[in-house]
Amino acid sequence: MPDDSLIEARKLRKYFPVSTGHISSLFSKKRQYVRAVDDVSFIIGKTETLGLAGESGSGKTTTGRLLVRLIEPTEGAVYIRGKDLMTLKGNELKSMRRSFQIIFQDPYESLNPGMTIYDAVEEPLAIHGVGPSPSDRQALVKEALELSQLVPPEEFFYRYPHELSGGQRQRVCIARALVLRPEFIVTDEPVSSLDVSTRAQILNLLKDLQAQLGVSYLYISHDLGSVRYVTHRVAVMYLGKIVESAESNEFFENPLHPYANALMAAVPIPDPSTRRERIALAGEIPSPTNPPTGCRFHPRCPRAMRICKEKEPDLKDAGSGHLVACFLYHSFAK
Amino acid sequence: MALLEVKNLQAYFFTLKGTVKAVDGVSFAVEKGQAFGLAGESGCGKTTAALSVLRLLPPPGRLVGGNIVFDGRDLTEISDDEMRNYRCKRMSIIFQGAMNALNPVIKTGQQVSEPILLHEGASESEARERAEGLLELVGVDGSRYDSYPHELSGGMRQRSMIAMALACNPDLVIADEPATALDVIVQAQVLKLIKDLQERLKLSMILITHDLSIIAETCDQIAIMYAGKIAEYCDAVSLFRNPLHPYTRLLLAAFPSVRLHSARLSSIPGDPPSLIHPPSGCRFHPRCPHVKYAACSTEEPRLHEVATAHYAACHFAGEI
Repeated sequence: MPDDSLIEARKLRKYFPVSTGHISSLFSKKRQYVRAVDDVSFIIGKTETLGLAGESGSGKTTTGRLLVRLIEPTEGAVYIRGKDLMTLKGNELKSMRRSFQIIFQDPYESLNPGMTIYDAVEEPLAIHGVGPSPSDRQALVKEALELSQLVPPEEFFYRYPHELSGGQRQRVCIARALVLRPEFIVTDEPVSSLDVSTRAQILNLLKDLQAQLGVSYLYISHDLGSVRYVTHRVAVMYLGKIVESAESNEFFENPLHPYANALMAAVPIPDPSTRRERIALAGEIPSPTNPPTGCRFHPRCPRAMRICKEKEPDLKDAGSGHLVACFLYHSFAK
Repeated sequence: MALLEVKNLQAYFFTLKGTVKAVDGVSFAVEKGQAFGLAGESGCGKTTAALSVLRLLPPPGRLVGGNIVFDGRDLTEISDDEMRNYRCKRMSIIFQGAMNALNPVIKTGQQVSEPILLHEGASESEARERAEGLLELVGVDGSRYDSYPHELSGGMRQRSMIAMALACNPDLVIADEPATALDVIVQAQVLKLIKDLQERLKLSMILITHDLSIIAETCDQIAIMYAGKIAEYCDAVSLFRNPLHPYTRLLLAAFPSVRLHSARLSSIPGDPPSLIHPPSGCRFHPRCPHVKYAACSTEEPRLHEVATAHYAACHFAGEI
């Protein structure tokens, strides 16, 4: 474990009960659960970005929400600077919440259309009672808008979200997350609803802010190109479990898990002269209500063996911190 | 002769705030059996251009000028009834977002067989048989005919949309962001299917997307659109090897690559312009890093041939 660990997720699980309706719940005793996150552990260091990649339905977003305690885990814990977030209550929890924030996918939906930009960015200050006087608060709001490169900030104070472009709105969301100077921000697909040209701007902004303020990120995305660009380490999720985790460059140069390889092969390459035969993986991600036995990937895996159906592979080190949950690599594993 | 020739197409939306010149003087041609890519950011007019070809532009949008010559006939001159004979039978469209494009209360198979019933006057059992065949063709089990859209996965829904577009054996298929809402693996499956079908059935195709790498993998000829106009027009290899328009270059550089680690992405400053009051001169000039000439802000660059069969709308395309 790195000494400078800021956030640690330990054996996180989140099961959502499947609502089956009143009548059928009277007759069947067994409740069904969607195992959205199933035994996930990781550490994020100071000024580090961990990327969480995977298809939709793999549990990335649920993990992000658990990390900032927007939802309660079924099992497991989140430690922030060694403190168990799940046991905190009341004022202690509230003051802890100042140190972590979340930025959502869709800036069109995550801003209140009836609030001015100033009000939206100032709200966290009011909630946490930061800044004794209105002029102090105004200075803080101004600074946050400047940090997100909405300049000159005064020009945005009294505007409404609908007057801004998608990129500008996402900058407002970033300003709102930054205004309390958090140490850690969960960014959940922050650029996937933006246009190509603005996407690069926001990715660069996230990187600049990290260099400037030393903030850590959990960067959730299905877009592997952007994951490679912004992260230091990557974890790939499949059906609620981490199947591979490594330092970013190592992962992208040398992906081990067959699922990670399939993900990489599915990314189209902007070069018409290398029209490759895609190793298109058959089928789609199965339902997390009844995940397959053994390795959850085995029904779609091109390299499945007999053991894969029977036993679930653990996440093991395949050399120099490159963790993979696959029996193909377990012979080398320590 | 090209199967489809669009000449100087102008499609405007007449809104209360003013006239949105969504497509303003766009020309392109699609040969028989060719995969043509129309790329650009959202709001650049690529979907409007495609809908205009089918004459499906929703109000307040209207075709204002230009010609759409399909197989020798100008579609802007024919009556609505005649146009109906072209849709589905000669040209069809795969809409963006299969989640919303299918009717949730009609069985998927029935939706696939509807054009066969309507346009070819087939009997119900005949239409069902053909629809089942079409579903098999796109990789959906024929027994799914009686499933409702919500019972299908995203990938299967998109495949059903493709089956529907192919129902009456069209010559030209327009695919509007056919894989955008899908996950990367399913997206790869769907794009492979589209490319295979296009080659096997010798279809002409217009693929609309914002993702240049998808274009690289599926298209032969490409037009890059910016703010209602074509910025660059050439074959796929030239576009990626030797992009001429500054916008194309920036767009290509703004994609983070999975293959290589990049220290810093180049981004395009600012936002796409309003199409009610587009910038004077070259529409890209307020965001262009190369703008140093007065001509950029005053004189509109024409799409001209810079290298052999490689067109760009930039005053200084060959020089920068």
